[in-house]
Amino acid sequence: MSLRLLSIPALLALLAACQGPSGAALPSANAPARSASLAERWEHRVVTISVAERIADQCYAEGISLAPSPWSGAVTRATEELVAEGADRAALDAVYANHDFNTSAASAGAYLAARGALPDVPESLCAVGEAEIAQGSEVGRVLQKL
Amino acid sequence: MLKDEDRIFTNLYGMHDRTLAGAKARGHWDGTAGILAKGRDWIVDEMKASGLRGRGGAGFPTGLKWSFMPKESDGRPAYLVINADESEPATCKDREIMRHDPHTLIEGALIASFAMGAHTSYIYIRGEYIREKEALQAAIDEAYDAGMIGKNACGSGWDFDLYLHHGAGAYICGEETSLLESLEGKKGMPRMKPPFPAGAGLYGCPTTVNNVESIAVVPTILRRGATWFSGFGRKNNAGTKLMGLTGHVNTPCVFEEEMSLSVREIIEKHGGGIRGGWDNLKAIIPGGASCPVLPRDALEDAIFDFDWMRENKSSFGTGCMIVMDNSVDVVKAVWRLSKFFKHESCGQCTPCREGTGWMMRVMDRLVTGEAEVEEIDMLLDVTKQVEGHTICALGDAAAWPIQGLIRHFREEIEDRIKAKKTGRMGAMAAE
Repeated sequence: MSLRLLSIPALLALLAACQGPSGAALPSANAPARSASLAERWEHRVVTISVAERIADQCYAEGISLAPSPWSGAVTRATEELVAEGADRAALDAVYANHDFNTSAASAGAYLAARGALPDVPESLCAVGEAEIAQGSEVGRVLQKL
Repeated sequence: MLKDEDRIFTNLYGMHDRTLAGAKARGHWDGTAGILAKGRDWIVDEMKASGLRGRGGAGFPTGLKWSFMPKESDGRPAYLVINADESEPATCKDREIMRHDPHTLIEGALIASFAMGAHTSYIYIRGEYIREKEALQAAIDEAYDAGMIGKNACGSGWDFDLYLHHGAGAYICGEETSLLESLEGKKGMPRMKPPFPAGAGLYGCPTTVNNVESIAVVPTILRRGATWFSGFGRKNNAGTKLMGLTGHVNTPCVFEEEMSLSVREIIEKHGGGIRGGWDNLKAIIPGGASCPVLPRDALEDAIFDFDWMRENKSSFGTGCMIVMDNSVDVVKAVWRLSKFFKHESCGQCTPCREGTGWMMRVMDRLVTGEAEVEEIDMLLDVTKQVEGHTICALGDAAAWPIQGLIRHFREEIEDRIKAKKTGRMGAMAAE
């Protein structure tokens, strides 16, 4: 059977089955622990917002967009949100200066792939977006259903 | 270089809070009701005195345009339509306003609408601008919730509604009358003028169509005064302006700068210079794909404003410049623009529908050098037959880059044709 013949939900189910019951190999969807370093917290937020942006870019016609925020762009937004939570701006600037953005992009891609989003199938991103919003996950909270 | 205190757009790069609270902290929405209280005539007169020329490309005086709207309603409503269908290749200035500083536009829409007796305004945003639409809609919702727009906007007694309409990605819908057609739910094809929109525009009612930047600068001009704004730039080219640099500069960017600086100063200061130095500059396209190309020889003392560009057979356009260094095959670059205009022609007018395809096909032959030398003048002749013979300016826009190419780079085209005939083509033309 060709993959083209499978519906999106069927594909998602198939991929979920491939992950095994624990899903242990998937990137974590949870916020980093309080003990996590500033760099880890910042990167986690950059990846979370990037994932939401990728979904919103593809799924506007499906009624999914980014929830309003005072900030735009994953880096600026992650930085400003952490500053608002009390993080030191100079420390965040240092994190930014030393950060490898290829890692973040790969993490965002892996997060989506683990949930069944296929790069060539925009609709699969929308299915992930719907699920994230329904679950109220971190990514889901960055998104909104219009 | 423009001083920070003279910048109208204080959050161009999204480094600050773009919400209503952030906008207010940066001085926007300050005394808006007081501005409205000064009356329609004062606002229009002040805009005329400021010398602001439309920022969408044509450069028509904004205050004068507003004065064409009827002073008294004949029973029909009046509309302000804001053209946010920013689709000109290389032009990406309005998007920075909409995604990072949207309240400048919303406040401007309220004031401009009041000045023209319009209780309703529409923003027609480009289909591809999804992130910008999100930001702008969020700002509009915020402004409604705070009473800045809606019933009794800002406590002024003026009722004002603002709607955001999302286009579907057609370049032609940036032309004001096809934009109105599209907004009405019809196919985006230009209307014959007259009647002009100020007489019969959206839904047959008096309408003014303005560019995003033209509207977004209004509140600051009125707060700081027409004299302040007209103090920048040469006579008839007043003000500060969002400009852009793309192509072979070291630091491509969008920035706010005063009008009438030299092209060289702008490229050096904001673009970090040409890749490989000034001597490596080949040509620029000053303000969007439709502006005729200018070679380096013409740019040594060039002034970046409306009048200098017009006097030198080009156009200031949107002020977003494409810079090309010596690595560029300028013939192929203009061919690519021809292909763009052929693709975007709506097909309503025969000279444009047929002419854009014809011009592109001859450009194909010029790129490869397979044309005859006589075809250069034949192509020039065709551009003259398209120019001025269409309902809208797309035909002109398709013709002008080719005219500029032939005016300044005829030798390069002829050399290529001769090289092809003598078998010396080599790497002269890109594949």
